[in-house]
Amino acid sequence: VSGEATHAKGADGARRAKSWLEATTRVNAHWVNPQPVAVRKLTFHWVNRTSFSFDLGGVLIGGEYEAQEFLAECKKYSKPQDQGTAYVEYLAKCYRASVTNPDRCDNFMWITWAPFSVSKWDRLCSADEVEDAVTLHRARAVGDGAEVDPCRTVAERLWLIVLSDRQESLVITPAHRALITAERVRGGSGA
Amino acid sequence: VTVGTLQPNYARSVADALNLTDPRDAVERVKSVVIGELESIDRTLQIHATSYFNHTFVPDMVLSWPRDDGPTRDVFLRFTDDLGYMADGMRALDSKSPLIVGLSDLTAGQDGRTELEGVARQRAGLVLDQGGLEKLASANVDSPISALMSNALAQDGLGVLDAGQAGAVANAVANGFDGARQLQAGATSDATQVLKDVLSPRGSSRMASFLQAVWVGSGGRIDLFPGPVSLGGSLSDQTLGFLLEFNEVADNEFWSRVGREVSLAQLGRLTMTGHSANLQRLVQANLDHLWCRGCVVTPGQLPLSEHAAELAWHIEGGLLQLRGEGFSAGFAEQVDKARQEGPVQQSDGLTVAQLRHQARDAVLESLTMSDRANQMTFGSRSRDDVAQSERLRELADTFGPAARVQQAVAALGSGQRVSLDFRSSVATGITKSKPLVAEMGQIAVPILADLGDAERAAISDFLAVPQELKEGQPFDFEAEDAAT
Repeated sequence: VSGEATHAKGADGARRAKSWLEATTRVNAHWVNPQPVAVRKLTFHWVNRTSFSFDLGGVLIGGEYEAQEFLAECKKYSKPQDQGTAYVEYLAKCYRASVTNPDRCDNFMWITWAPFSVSKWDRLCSADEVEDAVTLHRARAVGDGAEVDPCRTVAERLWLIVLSDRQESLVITPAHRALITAERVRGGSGA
Repeated sequence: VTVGTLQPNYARSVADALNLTDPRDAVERVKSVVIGELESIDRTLQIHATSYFNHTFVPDMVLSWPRDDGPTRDVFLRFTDDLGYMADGMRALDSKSPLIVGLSDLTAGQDGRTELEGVARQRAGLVLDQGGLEKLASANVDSPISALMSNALAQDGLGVLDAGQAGAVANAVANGFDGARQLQAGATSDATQVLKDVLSPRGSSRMASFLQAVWVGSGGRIDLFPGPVSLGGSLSDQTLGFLLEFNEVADNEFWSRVGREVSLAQLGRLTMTGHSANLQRLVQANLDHLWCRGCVVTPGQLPLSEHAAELAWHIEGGLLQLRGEGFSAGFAEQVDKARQEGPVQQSDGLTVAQLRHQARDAVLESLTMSDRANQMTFGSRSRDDVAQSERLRELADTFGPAARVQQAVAALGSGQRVSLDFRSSVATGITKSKPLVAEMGQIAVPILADLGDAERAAISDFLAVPQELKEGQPFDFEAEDAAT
């Protein structure tokens, strides 16, 4: 059972993140936790065969991101709460997913409504931070005795997105998005 | 007859598709499974898939009905485990009257179902769960009336339908159809109520008009039809199209009643594909009043279907067409319409010998002959036939080998007169005459298509106005059926 499936709050965050991401017109978030089929598509395995899942997944559309896949963790929080700890574990998950399913891991997004770990904010997406996280979760993420792969590639795929409630409404108007929708429907592709 | 690509087990196919390990494969496969199921509803339905899946506001696919003037319908694939979330999602759609296709079944008493139903109706949308879509798609197998209703639901359905509800709707409408055939007000009225409940006003009125036409065709009084009555008594093009494409109604009296107000102009507006048994019945049962002013005859048509060798009615190019082995004759109320369908390259006309051969059964009152330098019109005062006369042969000799008959006037049994133009292969009613299609065909086709004696006899029989129609008597069904 996915950890997210038990948290209604997680569901709300994932759904709102999907809605905002898709309102950019550059994202199609196919899979939303805790929908059971989606959970299967968002689930990966640690070295010890236990599983973890992301909240959201799908594809990016257009420009330099065309057809890239993404996986996201969503935190609809009003305060930092435990995000500092959870974020470090998320980095280890990103590392592990990149090792097991590199095709799925073009982009990793941490989408939150509350900043956290502000004292090291500028380093949260660095290779060093990923390496520290992997080291901390070494037993599950790498396995005893194995070497840690370079973490730069994972770091380059990280997105840190901070949303706010009001920002969710500051998106393309329905009238304008209808124009884009019509164009996309006509073309049959998202390019 | 099953059309489309109905899958033996739709639910299983969806589940298998969603279980594919690669998420992109899963998306592609599940969309193709749903498309296959939707295609089973209606062979005229066109489905345009987008590259999106389960997107907040971009549809997964768009349905259109090219043979219909109706609007397109956006389709959104959705998981059905959280109906409150589905309802929110439906509220957020820009699409008018969206069709939501559930990727699993709704469960009895599932939370949020009432809310979803309310939103669906408010947005003029329809939610079909897995079983609901499967029921609609299998209607083709069940009965033609269910197939018609499935198509109406796909275009104009409202609310939420699972397998049980879709089945109940199909049953009520099928009973209504049988009720209308037997003039039973109760079943017919129940069906019109159901139509009102599950279809938009547009869809409901179209289906009710169909039932009304069946009611009237079955001998019912239009003012006693138990539902919303389309006044005027004449059928809309849509309803007539429904009737003609429908499974064969082997009741010539039905077609005689239905066809009282039908004209060639209306038939020409319909888009039909393939052979329609009901079109044969409609035309044959109304040969006593269907009139035309123009008839274009084209020889040498290749057989288009297994029916082509037999004489059969078709609708093509805006004309009612009679096709047989080696010819096609198009009939229209407007002369210009018939001319447009004529050959691009005109001929010079017929030699006198050809004319005498081709017009051997007809009475030609006059004809126009030309050798390019001179032209003359030759007629008989007594309105006797001139084609076979000795005098014509003599005149032709004086004209020489270049002589061609360009045009002739033939008298019909009704006393009306028709001009036959051998250069364009078009026959037209002279001045204000509105000859019956039957009469026009009997005179124009054998002459202009140069048919042999056996074909001439066949056309003459085929176009003979049934005695029952002439006398205003009801058909003898059994005799008619035995003859066909």
